[in-house]
Amino acid sequence: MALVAANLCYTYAAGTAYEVPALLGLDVHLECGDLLVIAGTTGSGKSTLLRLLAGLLRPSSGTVGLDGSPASDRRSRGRAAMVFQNPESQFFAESLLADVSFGPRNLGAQEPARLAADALAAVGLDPDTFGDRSPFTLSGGEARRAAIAGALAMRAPYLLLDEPTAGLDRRGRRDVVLAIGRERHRAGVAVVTHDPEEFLPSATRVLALHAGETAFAGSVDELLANPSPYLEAGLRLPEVVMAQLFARGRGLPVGAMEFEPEAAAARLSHARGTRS
Amino acid sequence: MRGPSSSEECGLIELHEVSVTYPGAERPALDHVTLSIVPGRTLALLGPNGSGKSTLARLCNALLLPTSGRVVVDGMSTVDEATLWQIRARVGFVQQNPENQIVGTVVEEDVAFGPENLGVPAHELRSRVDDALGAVGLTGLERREPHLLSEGQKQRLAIAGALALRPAYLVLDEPTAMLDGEGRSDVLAALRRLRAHGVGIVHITHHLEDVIDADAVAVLDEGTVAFSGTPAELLADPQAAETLGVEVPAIVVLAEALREHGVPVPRDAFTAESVAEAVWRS
Ligand SMILES: Nc1ncnc2c1ncn2[C@@H]1O[C@H](COP(=O)(O)OP(=O)(O)OP(=O)(O)O)[C@@H](O)[C@H]1O
Ligand SMILES: Nc1ncnc2c1ncn2[C@@H]1O[C@H](COP(=O)(O)OP(=O)(O)OP(=O)(O)O)[C@@H](O)[C@H]1O
Ligand SMILES: [Mg+2]
Ligand SMILES: [Mg+2]
Repeated sequence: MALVAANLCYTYAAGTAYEVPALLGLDVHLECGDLLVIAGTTGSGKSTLLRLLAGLLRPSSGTVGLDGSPASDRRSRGRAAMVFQNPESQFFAESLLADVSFGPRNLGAQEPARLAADALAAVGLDPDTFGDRSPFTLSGGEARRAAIAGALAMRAPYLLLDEPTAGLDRRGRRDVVLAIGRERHRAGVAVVTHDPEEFLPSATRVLALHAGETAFAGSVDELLANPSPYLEAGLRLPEVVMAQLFARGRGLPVGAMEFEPEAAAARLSHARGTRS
Repeated sequence: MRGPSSSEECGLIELHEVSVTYPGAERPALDHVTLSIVPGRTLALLGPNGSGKSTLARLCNALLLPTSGRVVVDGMSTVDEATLWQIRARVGFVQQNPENQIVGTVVEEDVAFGPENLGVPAHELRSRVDDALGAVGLTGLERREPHLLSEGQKQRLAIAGALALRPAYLVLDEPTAMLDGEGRSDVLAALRRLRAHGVGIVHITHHLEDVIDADAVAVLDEGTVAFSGTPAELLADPQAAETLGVEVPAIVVLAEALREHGVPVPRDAFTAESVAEAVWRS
């Protein structure tokens, strides 16, 4: 059971004067328990990839298989829940509760209203305060939380999130990271993010795109051991890691990289003491 | 008749005791807020989701009018319809959702739209559009339809549109939320240049590291100003900052932890480069 893309290519407006080759041969493998972090500069193809994995676009060539069927197939409906990068584009109902319960209701879930209320609470939106609100008058961060709640409520085996922490406050980022941690017990999760600090420490795999191609693919340990391809794709690692990389670049014997500031400080001050 | 404060009201945007209550809302989104936006200075506006930042932003160019209190731009009240277009020409605005402000059918027309409306002559228009697109790294996409751009490209387009207006004030509502390392530093660099040229900037963000060199910081909480000071003052008490919902940048936590290990990291080292440099030199 897995969501698998093989040699995936996608071209917008193919065959016209305006065609944009957006993806040029990607491989992805996602299964229950995974947290795949997808990074890449503006326009590198991240959202296109997510839409293909969700079955919302059909590959120009290559395949996307969801537990053995094409992702865009009817049988795959509701099995990959997606949160769009622009949350406002996802709302349609008059109240937040109606909007968030639509997915589970449509999929024939037992208690859609309870699933919706739980999902809203998980992202820090009190269902009593926000349940009756129109999704169209929310603040930016509230809207992003609501869109995430809509995907969580579907309890789908694959969860695809496009920039889930953009525009969230400190509390909201923590809520979302925790919610995703819980989802991984029953789902495979892929996250597109510009916020590596939130997700890299617990990622099982990292995929960095550059102009539609794979700039880096591997585990977090592999990334930290050899960050050049990632950095050369115009990306930055968390600042705490960057500080250790710069110190190493200066010739300090830093050793393995740490994500936590305290652990990094211990390593850096030790490295400073042992240099020759 | 104007009161004696009218001379002070020239050359800045002033919010005086401003409150906003949306129709049907139980509590005000802004509650007696007083602050000013000064030419050549950057005001960073922080605060949790729903604290009223975007509401405040919409007040500055009369997109929204206060329920009570007043907003005055260079001496012109935003409720005065006679000066509405003068205010809109003075105050550029980059909305949180860039989708809301796309008007052109192709990228270059979208950027040209604002200045063209202000009567900027054709020969100058071209250079304004090219400069603005260059500053945000969109050169080469002039003929692309805006709705076919990626979200980060749309955000850059919205910023380019505001730059091309060459406004006296620029209000940016989370302009880097969708941008990566390079895109982010492009935009931050463009804002620093504008400030140096005397533009008054309001920069809304959840990331203190983006506004670490701001001249002033205001933190909103449930519609009121919970903190007002400089970035250094806000960071002087990290626990208090976190109580206000402000995330202390990890690099600041690292610098502090290094100082506790006896490494003399200067208080103004806010980048990975400068912290690494301090460790190496010590
Ligand atoms: N049209 C509206 N009708 C009712 N309530 C509204 C409306 N617009 C905003 N609000 C509410 O007003 C409060 C302030 O919203 P605002 O958009 O100013 O917050 P914000 O600080 O920009 O938040 P964020 O960080 O999430 O963007 C929020 O609680 C929001 O739900
Ligand atoms: N509907 C479309 N028609 C034509 N080109 C498109 C369309 N959508 C996206 N593109 C182009 O395809 C490329 C990849 O876009 P995509 O949205 O996947 O990028 P992204 O990595 O998600 O970027 P961002 O970080 O800005 O969201 C970009 O060059 C973009 O301009
Ligand atoms: Mg995208
Ligand atoms: Mg906002």
